[in-house]
Amino acid sequence: MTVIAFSDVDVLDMLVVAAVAVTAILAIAIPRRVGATIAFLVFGLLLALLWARVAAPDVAIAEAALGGGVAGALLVDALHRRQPAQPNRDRRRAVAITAVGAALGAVTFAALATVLSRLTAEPADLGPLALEAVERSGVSHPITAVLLNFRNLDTLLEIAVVVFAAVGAAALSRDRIRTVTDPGPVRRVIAVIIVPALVLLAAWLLVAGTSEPGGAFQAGAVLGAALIIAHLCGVRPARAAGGRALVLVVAGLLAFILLGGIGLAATGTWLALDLSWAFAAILAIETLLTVSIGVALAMLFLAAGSRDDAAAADRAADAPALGGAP
Amino acid sequence: MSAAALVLVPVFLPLAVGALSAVLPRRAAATLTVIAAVATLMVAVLLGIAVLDAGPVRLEVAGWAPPVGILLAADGLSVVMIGLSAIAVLAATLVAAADDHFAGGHAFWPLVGAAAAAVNGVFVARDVFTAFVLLELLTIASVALVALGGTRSAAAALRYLFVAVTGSLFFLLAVALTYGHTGTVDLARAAERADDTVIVGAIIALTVVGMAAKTALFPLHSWLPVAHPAAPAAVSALLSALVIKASIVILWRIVEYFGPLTDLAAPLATAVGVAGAAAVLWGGVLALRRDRLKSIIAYSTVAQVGYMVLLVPLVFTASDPQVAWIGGILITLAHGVAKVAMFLAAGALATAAGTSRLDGLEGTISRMPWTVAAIGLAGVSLAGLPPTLGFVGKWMLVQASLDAGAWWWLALLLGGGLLTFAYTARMLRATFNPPGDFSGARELTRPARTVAIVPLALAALSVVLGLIPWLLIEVLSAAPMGGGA
Repeated sequence: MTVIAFSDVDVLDMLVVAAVAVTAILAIAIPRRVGATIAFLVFGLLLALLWARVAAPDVAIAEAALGGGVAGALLVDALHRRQPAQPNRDRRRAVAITAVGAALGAVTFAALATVLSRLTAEPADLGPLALEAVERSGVSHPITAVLLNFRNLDTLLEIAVVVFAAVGAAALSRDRIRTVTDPGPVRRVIAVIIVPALVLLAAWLLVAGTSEPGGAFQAGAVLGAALIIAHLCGVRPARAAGGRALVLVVAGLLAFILLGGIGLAATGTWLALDLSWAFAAILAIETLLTVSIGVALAMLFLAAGSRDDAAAADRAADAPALGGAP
Repeated sequence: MSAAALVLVPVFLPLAVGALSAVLPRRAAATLTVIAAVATLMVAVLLGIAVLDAGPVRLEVAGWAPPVGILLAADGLSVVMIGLSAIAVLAATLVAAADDHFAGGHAFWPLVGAAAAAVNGVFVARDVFTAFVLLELLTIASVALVALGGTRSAAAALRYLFVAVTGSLFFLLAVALTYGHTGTVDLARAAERADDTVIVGAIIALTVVGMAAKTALFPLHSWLPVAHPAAPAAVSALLSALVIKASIVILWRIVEYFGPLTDLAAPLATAVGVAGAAAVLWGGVLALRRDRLKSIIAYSTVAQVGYMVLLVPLVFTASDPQVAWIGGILITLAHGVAKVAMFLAAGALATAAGTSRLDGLEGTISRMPWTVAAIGLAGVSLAGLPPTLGFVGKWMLVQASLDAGAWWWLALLLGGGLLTFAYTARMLRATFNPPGDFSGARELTRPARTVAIVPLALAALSVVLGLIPWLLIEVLSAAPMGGGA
């Protein structure tokens, strides 16, 4: 793994860092939601670029897939839904809040800058230690070794976060999720071209993850985006089926916990992987997790988008009838 | 199974049951959740025996030792807190299984599993990053649980989400600083390697702010009295008794490991103590001024959080910090047990009377004397009067204050107790019959029998534990806090 020394930081990096800061401020400062959303999406892409520049391609792919995929879809979907809250008309109050916020921000920034300047620039010795251990992990890509072997408890818990977020969101969107029945020719063509390509990309990210950047989170994010597009284009299997989708979502988590139990039974330690079957176990669990994550992310989108869609459809259906009434 | 393997059971068992509950019918989900809570309680007992026997139980997950892998460890604090979590979940789920109104919907079952797994994980975590992920799981589950209170609770849940996520971000900054400074996220190794007073002070300060937001420590408390009452009764009970304890324990752990390393810890600890003192008074006074049961109990939580952080300044000044640690832990346990009893009893009264307003509860004491008694007993434990667990905890904190020569904490401990007594009395008074009416003829919707028994059983538990506190004190002293794990 390459260590970035300060001399490696060139003008391009500085420009990207500055652009990240500017888009972040714009995303907060722009009062109109369309502008703020665009700024946020650009922010995500620039951040992905920055991750790639600091030699963290795995994080870059995840950021691009999540920020540009599911998060982007959710934000854009929210844009033309609901009236935004009326801006606070009390100007003096708004000015006071901004002033206090800016002052607190400045103090925090100064304090953090002081603390950060005291950090030594030496890289931690944990990196080399982890690299040494990779050959005993069953896979050759160090990030995958960390995520699914050394610190697989964290990964399991992160999967649980996604799973239970989907469970909660599904429970809170009380209305039926609207199915797209007549997508029209354009959307049909989009579905035929994009969905298979995304599914293929997800599969590649998954398999490549054992030896190169990629893995379950990235593949799952891409799969989630594919499912959302498929749903919006009326592809039949992607039509929401709450109960069955939940089974897919929890299956990955349950399989991971089961793997932990198998480790306990086989080696006496939770989540331990024996080198002889570590590779197979990691690939199998990553495949299940990809499906779980993909379906969970798609469910989050559908849960957020469901209610107003249905209401809008009802209004559209009612409008001519009302208009025609005497 | 060796003792070490037991450490992950309180995490994986509720997590697996929670995941299953998402796709199982209600009855099966409820049965499994109750069984998991009982099993967790048994594991807590087994772990307690192991701690008494040979000190902290350590588990290197997946067979990888730190710094490459993750260390989990159960000491006395972990054991008693896991016990509290099992009891709280058991009580809340028994009531929710008996009466669906207390649950708020099917998602209650999976989300309770996730929340229980997350808090138990925090209690055994010795790795700051793992602790962060567990806090995220807890936040997601708790916010969704609040939102189960129906459309009216949506705004409260959203506000809670914003505060909780901001708190997590502060802690994430602390985690990043820990890694940046020491090159490890393992607590013990990080404490060994940390040598910069300012950076360690910043880690403590960031944790204090983040956890204060998540625990609703004054002045970051204003989300709690909105969020906790908005949830269904069983959820309110779990949120007050259990969920805020996770962030408290993280704060304690950071103080335990990093506190001795920096001169900045003492002023920070004093600041925490002052915030705690303000919380005790402010929460107590506002609880006196509310006119809904759940709202009073929620403000009572704001006040009690003040007591839970009071050990932070005391462990720096008392000559025997163990007394302050154990006193603070016991008062936190007592709060958990009493709050489950109080919220569940309040839920039962509100269901029966059809309102949670104090002026609508008139006459309920004739029909539901045991439920009212549960509120009274729980209030006695919260106020720290004998013979309850709350008294034992408060007594030890009083000793630690005297030991540290800090008489002002003494005044606070006693004054806060008076306030607690006053708002409990106000709740009891509201259930009395109208003057001159001895018939007790008021018609009420009788709740299920379980709903009446469970709060009383918990209130009784406060007394039982108050009479035999040596059991808990033994376990807590077996592995002294700050002794490393």
